[in-house]
Amino acid sequence: MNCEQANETLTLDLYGEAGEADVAALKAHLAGCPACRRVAEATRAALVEFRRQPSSQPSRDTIEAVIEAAHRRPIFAGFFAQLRPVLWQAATVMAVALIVSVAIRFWPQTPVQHTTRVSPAAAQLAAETSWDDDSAALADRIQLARADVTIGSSLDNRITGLRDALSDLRAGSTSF
Amino acid sequence: MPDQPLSPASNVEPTDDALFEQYRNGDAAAFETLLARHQSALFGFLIRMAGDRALAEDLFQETWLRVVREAGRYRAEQKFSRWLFTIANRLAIDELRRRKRWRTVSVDDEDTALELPANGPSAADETERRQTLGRIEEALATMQPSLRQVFLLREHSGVSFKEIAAMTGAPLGTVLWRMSAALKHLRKELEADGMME
Repeated sequence: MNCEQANETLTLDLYGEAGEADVAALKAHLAGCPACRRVAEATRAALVEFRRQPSSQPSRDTIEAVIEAAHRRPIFAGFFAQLRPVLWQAATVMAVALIVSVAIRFWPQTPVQHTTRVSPAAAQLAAETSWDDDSAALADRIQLARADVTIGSSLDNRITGLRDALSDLRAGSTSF
Repeated sequence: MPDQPLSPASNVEPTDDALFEQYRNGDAAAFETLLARHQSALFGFLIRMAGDRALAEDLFQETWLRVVREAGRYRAEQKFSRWLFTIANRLAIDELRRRKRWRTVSVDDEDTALELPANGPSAADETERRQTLGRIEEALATMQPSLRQVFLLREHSGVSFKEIAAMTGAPLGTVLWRMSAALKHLRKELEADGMME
């Protein structure tokens, strides 16, 4: 232990906060270091002088003012003060829950888009179909498109409907 | 009939935490007990920090008012004396910084009004005591504020250096260094005046 360490350990030892090993090391150092020994003795004496000083007391008016304030405090203020953090937490949770529920309720709903798988031939037919097309050519195209469509599917039914409508057109019928 | 042994609890003073809990539950007398228990140490700390009796009185009153107002926030693991002195320390430093004052101890100020022992010292003793008192106060007044703060907290509050480090926000090593420096300053001031042989 050097002198600087001894000085720090002395500070702790003066207030009973030095460990046993440190106290032993300090004593060993002081036994061999006259300068540190004088410092330790002078420091202890200074503290004794300091602690000999008469104590100071506040005025009676100050004491009475403090006591009066303590008596004025509502009896259950302490209880509610302890409850306050719990109430704040509960209020926060409720507010968040309310906001979330309102958001879910009024969040704009995007329409579900149903995709329909269409064969390339049917897609081409749909793109090219117009009432100006030659009806025979249209019939051929319908036949071609039909080959790509699963029998019984909704598209198949549609194409069948178109074919029937075309037949009606040929026959001069306008019932569609 | 055999004598009934005294209940151990009847001779044990309630702890600070027990008293404060009683106060929080409505027992104002428990607060007065707490006040009496700590008023001397707290006021001693404040008057030496402030260097002014009137300011120390104000700070003392404000400290306890804060204790009353913040009673609901106190937790037993904080240790009452530490909590009390943390409030007082913060108030003192804030006020001294506001006034730009750290050391205005008036050595010749008769209003310091420190109580003397009831048995009355002799004239020579009183002169010596006043001289010693003056040197102590002067030593504190000429001590750097951060050193004085640590020294007075340790002397008056009884909290550990580790707790002082937490209260002041300084590392433990810094607190110990400040304490060592404060003791060195005090020692040198008293030695310079020949107060110690």
